[in-house]
Amino acid sequence: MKIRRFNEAGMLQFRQVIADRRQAAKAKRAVDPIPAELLQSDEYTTETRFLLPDAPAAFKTKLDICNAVFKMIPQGDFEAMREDAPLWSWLAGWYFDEITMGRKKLKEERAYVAMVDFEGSYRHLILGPCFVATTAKDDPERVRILLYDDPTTMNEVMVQLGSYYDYLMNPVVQGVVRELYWDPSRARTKRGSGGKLPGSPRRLMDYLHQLELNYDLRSISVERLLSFLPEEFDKYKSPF
Amino acid sequence: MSVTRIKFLQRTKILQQDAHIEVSKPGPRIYFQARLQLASYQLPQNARIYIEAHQLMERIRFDLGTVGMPNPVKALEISSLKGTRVSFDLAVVDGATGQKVASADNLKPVVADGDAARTQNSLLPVDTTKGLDGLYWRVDYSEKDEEGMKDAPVLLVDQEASSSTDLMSDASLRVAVLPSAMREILGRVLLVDEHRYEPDGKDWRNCWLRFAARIAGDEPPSLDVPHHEVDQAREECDHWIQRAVELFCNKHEFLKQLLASKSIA
Repeated sequence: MKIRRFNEAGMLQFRQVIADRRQAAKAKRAVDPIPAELLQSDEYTTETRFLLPDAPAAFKTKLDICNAVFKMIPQGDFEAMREDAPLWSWLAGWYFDEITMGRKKLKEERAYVAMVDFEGSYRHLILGPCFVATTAKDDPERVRILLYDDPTTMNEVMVQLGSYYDYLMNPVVQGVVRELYWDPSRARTKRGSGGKLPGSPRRLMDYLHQLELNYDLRSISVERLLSFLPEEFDKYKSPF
Repeated sequence: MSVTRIKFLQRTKILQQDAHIEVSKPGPRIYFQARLQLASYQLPQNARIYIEAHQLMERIRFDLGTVGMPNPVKALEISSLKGTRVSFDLAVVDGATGQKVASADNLKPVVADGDAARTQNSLLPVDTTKGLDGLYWRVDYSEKDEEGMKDAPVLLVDQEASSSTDLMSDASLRVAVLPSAMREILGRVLLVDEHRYEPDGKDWRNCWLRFAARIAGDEPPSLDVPHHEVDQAREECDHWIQRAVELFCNKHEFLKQLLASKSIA
């Protein structure tokens, strides 16, 4: 079967279905699946050239989503397809159960209904991780901290970095974030990196704003940028 | 919790007149050319020159060589930037330290538009975009201002519904959109951000308040009042905004122009 994209009527209907599902979840009622007719009928969708895999999907992490999507839509085609909101929305509908923990954890509308602007797109549960992955094609490990956790979780590092397009796209900033907040021994973020306390990702963003007045954050090395950070970040500089 | 301010180092400001940028659209693609005159700034010869074209939140970066050996001037493609308006940041960077030795932010290009050339510079830039979720327009706070603040307003209009020039040339759109946009922005500055007006300030908030103050004939009320007077001060701000918007619309005769266009039709 091929991946499909919603047409105008499909997008409207999908948005309504998502609103209904979210309302059911909020009212603690059973959340129905996305109707097959909405996903497969010609009334609401059209076929693309990309093939869906035969095997069922199992997305334990955002990285699993990226790996699956890039098998269907090669990374070389990603840039051209990035703004195809009806396609990404359809994928979210197709994999709805997988990205909602079996329809138990529903998020805001833009997590499923794709938007083309950056702010909206990075919060989409299929498009967002893929977009992040393409920013580090040369060294995927650099953004593992943003992709290691389950599809429904938006960790604080991602929330902060994702709020600033310049920083999210910047390999040096990605490297600094990884150095500070990634714990390779546990393959997850370091303890305490989720808060607002001194040394937190939120504070890092404030310091980056200051540093970029005087430094080109793409020319500077990761080590040098780390050396400019004040004492409050020291506890994150060493692994623990 | 505050962030300790880092000292502003010895960075030279490059003037707009020394960074001539021309955007051209010979077909479906968009290009720019940058002609820089940096000789008088006495910059290190081995410092690298970078220019970033940016539009809304997207940026494309180009390496223009070094001060001593700049790349030949040529057309560089920026078609992947969405929308119709683009600005540029220029930085001359010490390659060894990453330090900016000179820079210019938010440079406005000259747009080669057929025979005419026009410079883009506006208190409220207008841009077209996709995906406004059923809205015709929206004020987005994602623009960079002269002072480097990254939350300046830009008026986004749906690109399928109209072009950015339609908005300014169509009397019915102008009268419907501009007063509301102005009201929203002034409300954001005074009532949401609770910004204290500095008449000489160059950031976008002060520019907007100065613009409105000139129209209203007096400065905006301050919210810097004792706690028990805050409600009244907010009400005064609201009245001041309303008055500025009405005077703006009267001054530019938006409604009159709409009625005239209808009578011609």
